[in-house]
Amino acid sequence: MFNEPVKIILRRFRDRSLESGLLIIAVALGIGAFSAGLSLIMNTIKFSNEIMSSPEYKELVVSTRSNANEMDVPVKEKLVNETAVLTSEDLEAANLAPDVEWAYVQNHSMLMLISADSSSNNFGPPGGMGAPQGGMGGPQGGGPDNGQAPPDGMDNNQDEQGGPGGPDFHRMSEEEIAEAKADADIILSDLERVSGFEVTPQFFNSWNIEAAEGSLFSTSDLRGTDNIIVLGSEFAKLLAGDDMKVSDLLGKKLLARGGYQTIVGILNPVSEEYDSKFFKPYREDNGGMRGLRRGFMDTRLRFAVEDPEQLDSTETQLQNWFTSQFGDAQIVISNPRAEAEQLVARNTGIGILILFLSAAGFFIALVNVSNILMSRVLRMKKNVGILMALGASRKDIRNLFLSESLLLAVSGGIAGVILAVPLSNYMETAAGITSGSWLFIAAGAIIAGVLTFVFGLIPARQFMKIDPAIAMRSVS
Amino acid sequence: MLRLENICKQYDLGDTKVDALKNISLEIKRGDYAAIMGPSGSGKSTMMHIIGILDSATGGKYYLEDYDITALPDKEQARIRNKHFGFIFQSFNLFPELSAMENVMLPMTYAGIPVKERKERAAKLLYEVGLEHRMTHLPTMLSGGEQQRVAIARSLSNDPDLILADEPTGNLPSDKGEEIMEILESLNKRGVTVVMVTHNPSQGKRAGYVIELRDGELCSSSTNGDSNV
Repeated sequence: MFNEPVKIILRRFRDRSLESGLLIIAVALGIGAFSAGLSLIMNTIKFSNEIMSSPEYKELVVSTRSNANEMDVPVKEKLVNETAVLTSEDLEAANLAPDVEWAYVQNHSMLMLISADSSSNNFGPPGGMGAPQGGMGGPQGGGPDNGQAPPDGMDNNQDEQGGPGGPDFHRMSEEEIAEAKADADIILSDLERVSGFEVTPQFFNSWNIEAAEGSLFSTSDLRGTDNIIVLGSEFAKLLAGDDMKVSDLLGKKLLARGGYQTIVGILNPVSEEYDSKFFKPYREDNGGMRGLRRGFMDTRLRFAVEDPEQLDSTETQLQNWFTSQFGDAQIVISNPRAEAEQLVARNTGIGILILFLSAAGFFIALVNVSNILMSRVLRMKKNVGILMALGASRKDIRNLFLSESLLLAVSGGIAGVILAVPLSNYMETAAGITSGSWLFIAAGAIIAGVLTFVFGLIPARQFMKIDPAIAMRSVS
Repeated sequence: MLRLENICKQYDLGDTKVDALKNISLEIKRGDYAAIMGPSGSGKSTMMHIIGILDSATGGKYYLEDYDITALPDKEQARIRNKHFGFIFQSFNLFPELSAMENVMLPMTYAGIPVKERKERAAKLLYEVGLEHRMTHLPTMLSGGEQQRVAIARSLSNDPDLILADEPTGNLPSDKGEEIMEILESLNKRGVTVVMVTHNPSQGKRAGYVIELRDGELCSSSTNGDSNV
């Protein structure tokens, strides 16, 4: 397989197993650290670019100060001190901020579903099965939203039929469940709960989300009373199961503790975050409980711009408008992009530092490897003289000893990649990178392998310079 | 076959210059059996290296088959060493990582001979030097005489015109040295030109052509005892 000169190199490599093993380990550690470091910084940049291009980071979020400080403010105190209440009507602030492209509400919500197998906890629609549109009202337990769904799973805006103190639903009997199960238009899910969002229609515009089946809801649906929902693509697949096409879900009613939810649309795939969720129209409470309800519900207004550069000026414009409406210190406008940029800068800085350290370690390893290979020049001087006497040209000699560097680079590179993969995965997980690409590890290993080979050129070139007459004098 | 005209070799050692060879002119004909003799430091090895194109002269001309090969590019020099010359060294200089057969195959690799043919030719050559039973042995498993016979087989691998032997029996006991001398003489009888560096006067007498060097100068060259200088 190999010719005789290469056999000399390979067998010397084998016979000096300790020295060769240490060389390979040094190269492997260097290549592993370098490729993992390179992978980390490249994946950090890639991931940062991906998330910064998300619509989430082209918008400003407006909330009441108590909502903004949610974790720090006890519910009781918040209820007492709350004066500002945000509603979707406040989205008109966008009229004074010309760069705002889309303005919408996006609140977390949750549906408690009724399954056929868990009758002990099945609280069905009021009036039994004959009143499918009678949604249940009132949050169960209330409390701060924290940007999440209400604690007991009732969605935020189902209080048309009830208030916070008077839930109007009854425990469904087995007969009622059996009746619902038999109805082809009613869907009983195996899930106990599913999370989703209450949104105003421009949410879909801002995220460029379109309906794959059926339709999205419109502004007029915000004023209606029908319980309609749009399903994320994965949630729809889950409900449809193997027996039904996703499109068959349209018009069917999902049985939930809050009432039947009529499915009007199914979304195209968007993202992991949204595909497994449902979307309901955000509806204003017009029942007199509005102040109290909105006080501890998380109504956050979002104003999206096309160009992130417009965020600062838009923030100023919105701040002026909300100050004029609610006074100072009532409303907080947060800029997720600014926070994300800080995080990105920190992660990038750490990534660069790690890359620098790993590159420094790799360089030191290469210098040492080159020195060890160089010392072989002296030990192999006699062999070079013999090989030249037998017909090897200087180029043959250089290529022969480059094959040793190549062997070192390839074996060290493979071992380095084996080290780099878990190391890189660990660092990227720690940095919160979820979409890392292995290609950067491969690229890092290739670059490092080439550098190892290049450093191997130095001793190989020294071999070329050996004067055969001097070498021969040492062997004669 | 080869002709040296006023060959000089000067080593530059900073402030001092050392003349290793001074105006050496001689001719070795095809089929000659030449011995280069002289005391240590007389320039024998330098002359051998220049003849073997392992070193270059600082003056004069070197003709091989009437071609001036005084200043050839490295690649061409390597080709001539490989195809036309065979080297035999005092300390054998086999590669300890390679078996006897692989050592013999080595020069054929640089000649671009396919592996199958390399093996066949190496086996034949080892048979000729009486080592057919030692082909797969490493040099460390061979005696000195056997190692030198492998080296001779290696020097013959590309069917050279000229064998350059640098004290080929210097590291061997006399009986083994005699065996090597007999092999060289038989090669010469087959038409191979042999140039041998030796300190041994009795070996010099067995050569047909004796070149004596002293202090880098050719002090005599004789054929069958007839002094030419």
